Amino acid sequence: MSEKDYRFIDHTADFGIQVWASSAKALFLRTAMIVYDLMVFRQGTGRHFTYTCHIEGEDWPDLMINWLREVLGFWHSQEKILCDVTIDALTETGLQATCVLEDYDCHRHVITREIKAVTYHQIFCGPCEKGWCASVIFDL
Amino acid sequence: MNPRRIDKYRWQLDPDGLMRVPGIVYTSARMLKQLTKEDALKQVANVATLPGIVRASLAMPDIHWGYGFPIGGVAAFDWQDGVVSPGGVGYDINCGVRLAGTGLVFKDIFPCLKELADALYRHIPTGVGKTGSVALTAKEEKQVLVQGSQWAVRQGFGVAEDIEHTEDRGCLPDADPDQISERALERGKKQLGTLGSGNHFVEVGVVEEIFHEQAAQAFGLYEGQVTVMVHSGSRGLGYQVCDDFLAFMNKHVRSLDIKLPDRQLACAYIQSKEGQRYLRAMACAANYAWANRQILMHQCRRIFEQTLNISPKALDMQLIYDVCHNIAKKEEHEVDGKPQLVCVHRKGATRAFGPGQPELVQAYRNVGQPILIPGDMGTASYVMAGTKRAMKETFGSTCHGAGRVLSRSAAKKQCKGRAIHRELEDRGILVRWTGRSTLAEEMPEAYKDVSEVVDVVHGAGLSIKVAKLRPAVVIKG
Repeated sequence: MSEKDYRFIDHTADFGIQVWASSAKALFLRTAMIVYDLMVFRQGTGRHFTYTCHIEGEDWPDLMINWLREVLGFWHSQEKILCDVTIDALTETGLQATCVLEDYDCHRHVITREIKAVTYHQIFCGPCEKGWCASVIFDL
Repeated sequence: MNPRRIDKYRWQLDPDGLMRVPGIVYTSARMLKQLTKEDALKQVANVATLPGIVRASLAMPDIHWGYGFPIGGVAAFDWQDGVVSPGGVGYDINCGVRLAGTGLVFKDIFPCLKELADALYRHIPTGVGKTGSVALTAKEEKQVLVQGSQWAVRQGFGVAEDIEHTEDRGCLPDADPDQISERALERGKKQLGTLGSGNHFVEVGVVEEIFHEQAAQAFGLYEGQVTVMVHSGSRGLGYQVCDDFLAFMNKHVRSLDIKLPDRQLACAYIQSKEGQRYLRAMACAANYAWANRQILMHQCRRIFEQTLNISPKALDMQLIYDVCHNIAKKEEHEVDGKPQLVCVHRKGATRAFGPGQPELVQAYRNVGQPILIPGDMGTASYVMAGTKRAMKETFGSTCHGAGRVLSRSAAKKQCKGRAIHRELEDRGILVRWTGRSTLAEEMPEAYKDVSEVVDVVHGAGLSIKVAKLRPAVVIKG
């Protein structure tokens, strides 16, 4: 993911990202992939699994939070790494995605930064001048 | 936000807008300047808008920008009419500190300091997602969630006296594992007895100075004594509990008449089914954290004995106290001259019960509760004692540490070209670490001056200085 697609947001205890994309679908895909790019350095490929998830939210910001919760959960509860995503369907209150995952392998994956949780703090997700934009602060 | 000065250590945010009570910030004039650069004061004001808040939204001198509640925030809510908020406890439920004294003085360990640092680093699981030496079955995990430290001691990780010297005897009542999600249980199964990453640590220290002889004697502290401090929490399980209930309460709060200035303040009335569910789940995570620190301290005992080749009797590692600094608890406090049941949220704040409190173990009842204030890894940590004034003013609460002053990225920038571990070694501090950027992010300059923080709570009468510890060995995640 190019650093032009996002920037870091400074926070005293933790950190956040601001992400831009041309469409809502691209924004949800990009934000999920950035989270894993920031967490994991990977080399080579392993056996892939696909997983379809259905996420709900009250509005765009809530949907983004719930989506990133799900995405972070792959690592936290299953020790799986997100490799690719397709956003199959998206509305303001619902998302269906096909996620491509692989098992964590200490020989191929280096956890460079642990993102422990995604917060509602200063959350933004919605249309903006550049298309679509999200700002998310993470707990480290 | 323009706080009004009350005295040397107290500033007030007068009620404005939706605030139901004032905000009171304990700080120094110098630290206040730093504070006004970020939004932490706004967060103090936001907390003051929540229903049922009693007396004031409080902030300790280690306050910094959190999410929802500030770190260093204390707020009490009426037990009948008030709310409970997962964001007022924080993600790492019952993150806390324990301090053990030993029968050793610095010269006893000095010849083996490197071996001790290496052994602690080798045997204490540290870092991201690390799994522990205690593998739990589903049934055992639920026992941990209900019994806390007491489970660990029953399994041989410690002695009965450890329980007596732990806040709430290492176990919150009313824990209900049925309120915990499968995902949280999964995360908790493999992480018991692990330190974690970020600012968690094990620190071998030396008592450098005693300020209050009577309290130090009651706590079993003396100059030159070797101590062991453990800072850790409820690991992934606690995070998942917080996250699950934030999501749940964000939906729930929309059905209530509560206008939230920040979604991270999502809450439920304490007496509602939703509020009770959170408190029961939170108690599980708190108990897990106590069991975790109990096991970590016991591992330290074994490592000291093996590395120094001494008997448990010669080591004499005794728990002085274990305090939690991310919690919500049912407590009775005097409000307007009358006893009132409240739910005290301490997020990055420590209980500071004063002399005479029946909750304290007999040995500490005359001097007040031991309060453990870790500083940054290159400076010092403090042991303080609770006061009657804290009982009157802050629902028996005080600060919890130095408090961050630099963001992680700012710390990393300042660190470029420097070898922090060598700088610390030159000051006589051996450090071992796991995370790639841990040392840079946790460098001493990233934190406020702990001595200044401690001087504020001492000066304000919220706690009294008992002893200063200097670090000798630091193990970071």
